[in-house]
Amino acid sequence: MNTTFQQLQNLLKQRILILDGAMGTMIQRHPLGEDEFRGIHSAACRHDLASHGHPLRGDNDLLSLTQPEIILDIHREYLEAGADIIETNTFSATSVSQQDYDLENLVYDINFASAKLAKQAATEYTAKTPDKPRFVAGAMGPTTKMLSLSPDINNAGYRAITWDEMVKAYSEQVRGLVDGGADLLLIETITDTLTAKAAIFAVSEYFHNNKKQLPVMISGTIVDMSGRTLSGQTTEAFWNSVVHCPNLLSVGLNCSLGAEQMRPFVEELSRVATCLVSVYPNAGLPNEMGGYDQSPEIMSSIISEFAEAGFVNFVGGCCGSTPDHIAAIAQKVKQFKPREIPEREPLMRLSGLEPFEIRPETNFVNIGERTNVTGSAKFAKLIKENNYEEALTVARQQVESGAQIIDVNMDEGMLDSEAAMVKFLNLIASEPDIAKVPIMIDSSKWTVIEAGLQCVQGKSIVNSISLKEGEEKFLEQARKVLEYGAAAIVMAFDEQGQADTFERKTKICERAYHLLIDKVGFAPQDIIFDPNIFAIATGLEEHNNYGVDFINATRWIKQNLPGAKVSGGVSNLSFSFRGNEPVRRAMHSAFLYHAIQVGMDMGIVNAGQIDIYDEVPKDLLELVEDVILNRRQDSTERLVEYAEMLKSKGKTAVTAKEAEAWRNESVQERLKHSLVKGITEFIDIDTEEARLLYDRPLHVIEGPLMDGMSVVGDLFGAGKMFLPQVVKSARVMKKAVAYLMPFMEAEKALIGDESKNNGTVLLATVKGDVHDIGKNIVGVVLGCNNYRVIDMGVMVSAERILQMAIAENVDIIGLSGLITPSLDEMVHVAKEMERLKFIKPLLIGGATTSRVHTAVKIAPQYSGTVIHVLDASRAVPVAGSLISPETKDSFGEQFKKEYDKVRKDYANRSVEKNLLTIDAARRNKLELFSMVAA
Amino acid sequence: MIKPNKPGITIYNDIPLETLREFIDWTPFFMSWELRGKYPAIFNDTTVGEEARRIFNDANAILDKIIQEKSLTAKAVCGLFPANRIGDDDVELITDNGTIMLYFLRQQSQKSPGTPNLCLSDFIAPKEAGEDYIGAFAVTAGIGLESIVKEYELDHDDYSAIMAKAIADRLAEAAAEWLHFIVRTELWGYATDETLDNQGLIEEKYQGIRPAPGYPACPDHTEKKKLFALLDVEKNAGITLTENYAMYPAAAVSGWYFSHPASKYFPVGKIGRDQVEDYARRKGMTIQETERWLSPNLGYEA
Repeated sequence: MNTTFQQLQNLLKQRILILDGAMGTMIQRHPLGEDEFRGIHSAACRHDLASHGHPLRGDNDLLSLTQPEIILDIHREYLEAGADIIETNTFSATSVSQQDYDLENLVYDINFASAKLAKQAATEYTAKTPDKPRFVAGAMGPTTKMLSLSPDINNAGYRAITWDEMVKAYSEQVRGLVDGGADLLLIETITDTLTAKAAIFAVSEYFHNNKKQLPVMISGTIVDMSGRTLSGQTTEAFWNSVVHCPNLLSVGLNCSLGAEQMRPFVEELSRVATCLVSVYPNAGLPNEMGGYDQSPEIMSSIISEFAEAGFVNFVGGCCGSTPDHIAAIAQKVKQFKPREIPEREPLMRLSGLEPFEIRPETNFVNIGERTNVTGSAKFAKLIKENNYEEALTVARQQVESGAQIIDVNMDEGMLDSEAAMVKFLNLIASEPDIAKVPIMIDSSKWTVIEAGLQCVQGKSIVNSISLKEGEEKFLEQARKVLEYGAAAIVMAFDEQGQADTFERKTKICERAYHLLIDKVGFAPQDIIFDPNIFAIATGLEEHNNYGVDFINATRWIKQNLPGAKVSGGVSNLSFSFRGNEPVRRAMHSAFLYHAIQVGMDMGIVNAGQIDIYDEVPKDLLELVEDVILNRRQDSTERLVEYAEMLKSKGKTAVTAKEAEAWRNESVQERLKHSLVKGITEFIDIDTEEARLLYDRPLHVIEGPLMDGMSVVGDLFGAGKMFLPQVVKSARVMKKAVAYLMPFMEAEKALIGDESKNNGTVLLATVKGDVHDIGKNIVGVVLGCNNYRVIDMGVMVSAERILQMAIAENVDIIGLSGLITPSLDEMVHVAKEMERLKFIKPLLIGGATTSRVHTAVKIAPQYSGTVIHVLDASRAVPVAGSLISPETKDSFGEQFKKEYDKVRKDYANRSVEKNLLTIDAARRNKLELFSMVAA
Repeated sequence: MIKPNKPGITIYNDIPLETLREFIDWTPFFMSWELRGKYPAIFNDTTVGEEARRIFNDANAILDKIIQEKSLTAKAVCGLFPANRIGDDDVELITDNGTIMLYFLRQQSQKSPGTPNLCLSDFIAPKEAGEDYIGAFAVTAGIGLESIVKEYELDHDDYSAIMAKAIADRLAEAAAEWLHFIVRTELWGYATDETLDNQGLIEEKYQGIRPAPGYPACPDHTEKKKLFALLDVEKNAGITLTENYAMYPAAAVSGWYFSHPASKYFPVGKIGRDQVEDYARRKGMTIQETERWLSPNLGYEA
């Protein structure tokens, strides 16, 4: 810890410190032309740029060399206004950004000179007001290129720059800034966290190599009201991704938004950050001309409210702010106490685009294992065939089926593992559905791990490092992991080999734990031990205790190495039962049950392949636990015997036996069974039997049949039944009702219609469109949840739809369409509903429809509720909530709010990549033909 | 620029369904039932595999019945015509009764160096380079579907009714695949030695493409009108167009054939006002009308 850091820390305990305002806005006040930027006629300029081949006007950072007096004066003005910290004029002073001006060779000089100028101004003012010392922050802005986004929308895996190039560029900037006299470093206006991580890496390496540390401030940019950075991270995910920065003084937000818009994100950051917090917004949102016009009075009032709320330790201004703004801010926040750093539990906090926190009450964390070429033949094949699109589907499915982290492994002899890792991770980065979860970078080769770390903006997990090649290598790799901002799995492996006994496992883990914490500075909660799960029941006696050793080692680690986590690759355990799925599944379930009880935190598992512990057949469970817990001498033989029997018996025998059994149950149970299983074979005789049993045919429907269908509804809602099964259940229901119909008609003639349902839904494919499979499925699924469905078929005009809706007094209208022109037709129906003063909810579905289109184009046309329904499984809960008197208002409101937000986000969305003019596009056509007549 | 073996129009009145069955791509069938996964790997999926196998068996039982009873009829028409690129983005197609202009749209997004801004017209030679060709086709497998569906519905069997529709959709796509194969190897004959199995066809490993008007490479639905007139699709294949250019029966596919080895599918994506204005002028439509039909592709607020 150096003196600047201590001096700052002391000041920061007393008051909120003031940062300066915009440099660009102030430079614009000087009429500077090409000559001035080149420093022609400038006495102070020692660089000869008169004949430089590239125009230089607009390269503001260059002015530190060519017009130093102007820059110096701007610094003085901000210091005069009350700034405690001024930023060097180096926002774009990296070789990457200066490439635009062909000035890569001046980058060091610009940084050095800028730091020196700022230092000169700061020193003058410190001398003037010794009780208010002034500091210089070396500004490191984003570059013209980004590491986690492709500049080519048709090639999502492409990157305009490599990690190493980026680190090199920032390293040069850091050297210039520090040599020139900067007191601290400020990595700011972070639009892409991965680029910022490269800057942090450059800073870490600089500190490490020069045995010197400066306080570091980090400031991200939230691009719009969706609350995300340009690269897609939420505020908290961003914090989790940069917290590893060495000597971190503060984290904050700046640019892009005005103070008012920034408030919710500042609040969020203030809640999560365990260091100081800085904020320097723009002077409002840009006006039509791209300028800023929020007054010092207004801006300072909003910012002082942040101070009053206790959110901030540093405040200042970004684009559009001036010394007047800074003076007003300094004046107003003076009265408020600085934010106190909150105490937060030291938990493992990872991130993808979203944060992921592992809490004590977090149940077992599922790590998706199928994006692993060594574990999944299918994935390996896709990668080898270069079918990355399908490989992404594998990743997406894992996230959809509940993986909270995904493990990516490309270790295969025939693959260029580094290239495959980089390509796959870069592609994942542009798939928000996948990239939202943290990545586990899995390889036995360090180079592959490092290549992977250079592609992920979130806080990921390295799988794995170990003491296998000795302490020096281990420490070196661990230090790198820390610099990349990742957590690590440490294998229980040392110079002697992989640990197989309790003693070896615990000894190695203990040694690694202390090395990581004492020598590298790892946080205990970022250490995950893998004490090795080996195959058991192999027939070799020395393997029999492997399960017990793992479980005991896990308990010991959790009790003796505070904070550390335990993980393992579960499928190894049952290796000797390959091909016998029921036994393997039972083994995994029972093993996890015991290991989780003693504290195992996470595991690499195929989530779909684990049975519920309580549902493992009791006889099998006993045999399996005998093996895992090594309870009997003959446990292996007994399990092998059982497995053989299971194999020979085959599945069909079981089904035949089960098939007979259910016919002996009560008629209610039989009806339920037929409904759940979709069996039509016995429905007529069972329905007849029930009809005789109940007073009235209606009671059969309302009793056992509806009971059965509600089981179907629950199973479908819980994702335990699939759509075709539900449609088959509906068929059984329809047949049963059809059987009862004549009896009900006869009764109706006597006592009238009393049948009840959940409400009426009208469905139609709109005018001009003919596709209806999806709509049919929605109708069937609603029908079997006891809605009356009026399906008007295809090519139905708005007029007919609305007439029918009135005539039948329906509760909900649902529209479907597949081709793009149908979107317009839906807008038309919504307009008609508004004109005719409808209040019925309107549902939108079908292949070309989308939530955004519904929110932006359809919903604004109709004051009633409009909801986009993604698929059949969503239709039932949506219809239920819209009809129930208790929920319908709040549900409608909830969607109105949500769609308002969608509309706002849409309006605020980062400006579409500029399109080429059609002439330019034509010039870049694909020319396949030579102009010679054939 | 290979001259077709059989230029002009060819009609298939009753394509054997047994033949089409071999050309079915089953993956979208599972998608229509909201089961995710690729055929045949989907059967090994731990979550949906079992159910996928079950509906696959059910579908094949219904397909057997349809084939046996000949309850669906598959029809097709295609035509191969001399054509040249005119200007940058248009194609002039020559028939016995005169010429027809086809208008296409060009990508306007920024590309990385070396990647072109594509338009389907790029795959057709300009006059200076000699005579080139373009094809058009329309197929359906939905003739007879209505009465099959009605029969199931009368039996309170929505499951089989939906199944029959899904199968007809698959057969129509299979007919498009089959016809394209016949065109490549016989009628046009630019790939006489092609040997691909069904998987190879599904993965589009062959030379040439068949983009459909209204879909990403040529998103203007209204151009379908020209295709239908050119091939007299209504008479020759029994398919009609709705006012919004949906095809009826719904189990139908239509599109253009391009044969150049470099031809490939691509999305036109967002386009600018300048192209929309130019396109409206070329087509003789008002800008407002053009914007309505191209609304999903507009890169600006209309």
